[in-house]
Parts: sequence; C-alpha cells; structure tokens
Amino acid sequence: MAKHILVIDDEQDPRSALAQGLRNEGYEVTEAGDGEEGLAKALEIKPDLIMLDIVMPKMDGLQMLQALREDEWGKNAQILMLTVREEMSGLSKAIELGALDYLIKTNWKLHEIVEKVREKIGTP
Amino acid sequence: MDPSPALFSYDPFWFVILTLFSLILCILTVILIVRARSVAAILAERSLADLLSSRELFYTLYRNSPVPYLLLLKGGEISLVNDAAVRLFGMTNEELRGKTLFDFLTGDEPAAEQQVEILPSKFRQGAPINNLDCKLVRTDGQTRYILLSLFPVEDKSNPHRGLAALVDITKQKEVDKAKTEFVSLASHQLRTPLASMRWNAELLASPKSGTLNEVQQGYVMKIERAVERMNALIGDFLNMSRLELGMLQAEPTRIVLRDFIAEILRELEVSAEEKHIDLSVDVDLTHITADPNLLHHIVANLISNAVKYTPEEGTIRLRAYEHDGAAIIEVSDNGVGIPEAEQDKLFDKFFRASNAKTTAAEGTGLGLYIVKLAAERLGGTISFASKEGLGTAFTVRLPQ
Repeated sequence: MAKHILVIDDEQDPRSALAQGLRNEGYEVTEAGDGEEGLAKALEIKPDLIMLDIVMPKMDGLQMLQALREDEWGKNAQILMLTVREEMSGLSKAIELGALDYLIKTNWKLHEIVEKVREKIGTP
Repeated sequence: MDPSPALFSYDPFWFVILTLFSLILCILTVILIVRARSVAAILAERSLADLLSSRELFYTLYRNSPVPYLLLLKGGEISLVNDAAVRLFGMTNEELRGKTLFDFLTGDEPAAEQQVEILPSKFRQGAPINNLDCKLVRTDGQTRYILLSLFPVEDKSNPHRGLAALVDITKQKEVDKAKTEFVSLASHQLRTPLASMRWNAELLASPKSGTLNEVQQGYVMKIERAVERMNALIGDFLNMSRLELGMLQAEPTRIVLRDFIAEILRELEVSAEEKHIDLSVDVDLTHITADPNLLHHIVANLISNAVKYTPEEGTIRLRAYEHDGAAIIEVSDNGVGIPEAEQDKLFDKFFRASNAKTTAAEGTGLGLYIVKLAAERLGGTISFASKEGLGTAFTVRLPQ
C-alpha cells in the first residue's frame, strides 16, 4: 500500500496542486481545508506524513498540532510545516512541538517539495 | 590824511556789502542747522517708526507662524511660545512657561533616544540642532512625531539662549507607515495565487499530466518564467517593507563565512557560468557575527548584481577580511559601471541607472536599497567606487 499524506491548507488552489504533484509521484493524498477537519482526518487515517499550514481559519496549524500531540498516535505523527509568511516565532513553536521541518511555500518548486517529502518519509 | 585803523578805512559802501553778506551767511547757516536738525529728527523718527513696525512685523510673524516656536532660557526652560506651539502642546503659554522643553521629548528607537538625551548639554554648549527626528509626549499623554531644530541666540546678554522650532510630521509618518503596511499586505496576499500558478504550471509541464506539443511547452515555460519574476519582485517588496517597518528581527549569529558564501555562490554560479565570468573568492575571515538573513541579502544581492552588469568573459572578485574591528566584504567587477552623474542616487528606492536598463532589462531597482537597509540594520555601512565602462567595487563594513 502506498504511503499516505495528509495536506492541510485553507488555500484550495495551491493545496490541490501540491496534492496532485504528490499523487503523480505515487503517494496517496487526502486534503483538508482547516485545522478542525485536518485533526479529525489525521486521527482517522493516521497518515505517514502531515503537511500543515499555519495560518488557517477555525483552528490554526499550531493549535491543531498541539491538539494532535495529546493523542496516543498523534504524539509521534510526522509533520512538515508549510507556510507563506516567514514567521519565525510560529515556526519555532512548531519545531518545539516536534515538527520535522518547515517549507516556505513560495521558495519551493513542486518537484523540490516532492523531493523533500521523499527525503523525509521515503518513496511511496 | 588821518592814519586811521584798517577797519575803519573801508569805504562805507563795501562795509555795508560785507555786513549784509555776513548776515546772509549767518541766516543761511541758521536755516541749514535748523533744517538739518529737523531732517535728523525726521530721519530718527522714521527709522524708529520703521524699527517699531518691523519689530511688530516680526512679532506678528512669530506669533502666527504655522511652525511651533519656543523661546528658551539657559536650561531649556520655555519662556515664550507662539500660537502653533500652544496647539502642538495642547497647553497655554502660561502653562508652558518655566517647563523644560527637553522633558517633553523622547525617541522611538534607541538611537533617537540617545540623541534626545544629549540635547540639554548640546543646547547649553550653544550647538545648533537641525531637524532631529523625535517624539513629543504631551501632558495629556498624546504623542506627536516632530522634527526639532534649535537655533542658539548669539547675544550673551539676552536671557534667552535659543529658539526651538518644532515641525509636526505625525501625518507624514502615518502615511508612510500605511503605505509600507499596504505593500506588505498586498505582497502577502499575492503569494498564494503565485504559489498556485507556479505549481499548476509545473503540473501542466509534467508528463504525468499528459503530453504537450512543443508550442504548448513553450507557452508553459513563459508562464513559469514570468511567475519567477513576480515571485522575486514580491519577495523584494516584502523584505523592503519588513526592513522599513522594523519588523525584521535581527538575530546575530556566529556564521562560518566560507561555507555561507559557498552556499550563496552555488545559487548564482549558473548565471555566472553562462556568461563565462571568472568569479574569484578570497575569504580571509573565518567567522562573522551577523543576522544570517540580512547577511544573505547583502552578499547575494551584490554578487547577482555584479553578474548581471558584467559582460561576457568578465571578472568578479569577492573579498572578505577583518579590518579595525570590523568585517569587510568587497564585491568588485569590471562591468558596465555606474555613470558619475547618477552615483548619488544609487541607493534610492526603485532607482536604476540609465545604463542598467540597457544592460539587463529586468530589475526592480530595490536591490541596493534593501542592501543598504540591511547593512545599516546590522550596524554597518556600505560604500562604492565606480567608473562607467570600467567597473564597480562595493565595500560593506560590519562592526563585529
């Protein structure tokens, strides 16, 4: 079975492009549009990697991550942060909460992100 | 004949003439004296009147000037203020009299605060102050941004020691801040569609999405190129606005310079190689303490400019060394150079030299502006020497 990635971002267009790029590579990808939905799906699917945006309505990335870490499975979930703003304070909190790394969306091309994902969780 | 005294030997006729003449002379003299005295009096009167009217004029000007004026005593105590000052402080002349002007002033940044702290001593020394950017804190708590100028009074016998002129620039500062925030917000909002365009263009070009013919591939490449350009521009705008708004938190880090520069060169090597430019690096300094983001801006920008404005087969040299307690970074090239007449505008926002536009069509004119801001944020300076047609050398000095 292919590795499963959960992409959580409220911006639909870049999110679906990213999801498709990962699917093209062979990964299975589920999308979520806000922190609440993301948290629910994460606990349901238990993905191999969660790609998480920080700024989102309803529940932002950091809040979701905090909540996730309180779960038995969620404690060890692999997280890759995605962000547009170079907000160092938000990102350092995420790293504190055990995020693997962060990507500033605008600096990365799609194939570069896919390579990074492969680096973190291996081939699909 | 009688031997009479000479005086009386005159002919009576001539005696009469002489007397008359003397009389007329006397009368004329008296008239002249009288007239002269009245002329003097008139002159005296007129200049006194003039004096009175010009003093009145000046006092009227002082009182009604839109610029707040305060006459200060020896220690900076307020003695007499004009109407504009009353409005600025929100206090009457009586309420202001006796208070020390410097007690109302402060600065937003440590540098400005320092300048404000030394004002009393500068004032006592009789040193003039020109347009000091500082903040006024009123007794009701409201603040105003002002440009302070102090003019010393030369006459030591006068109890007044100086005149303070305060120009209220609060509105300008607000507008400036609003503009910068707008640029920041707009740029931030633009990044999402930009990411979308970029990644979707990539998906379009990917064989996994289907096959494109050559013509279609060409179109996609053009889209990708344009997106890269926009991305760079928005990145510049954001960096600029962050630096201007003081939002960029400088985190001084001990950086291994050789590795740091090698990383930057890796990004720019390709464009240098395409033009067969000889890029030589001479790093004589092991460590540098600086915020890595800001240092990256400086070095990357200077090198990419050098590559952009140096023709094929040209030479670029990067040197880094220590001098006098500061880290010096020099980037020099034998490129197109900067025309002398345009050199003083080089660091201006959006400025591109006339020969820059013909050499490299793309360029925002923000690069050097941001480099200068970054260097200053690191507590350093940037300078350059250039000759059109010969080349340019930039020197960045960062105190360690």
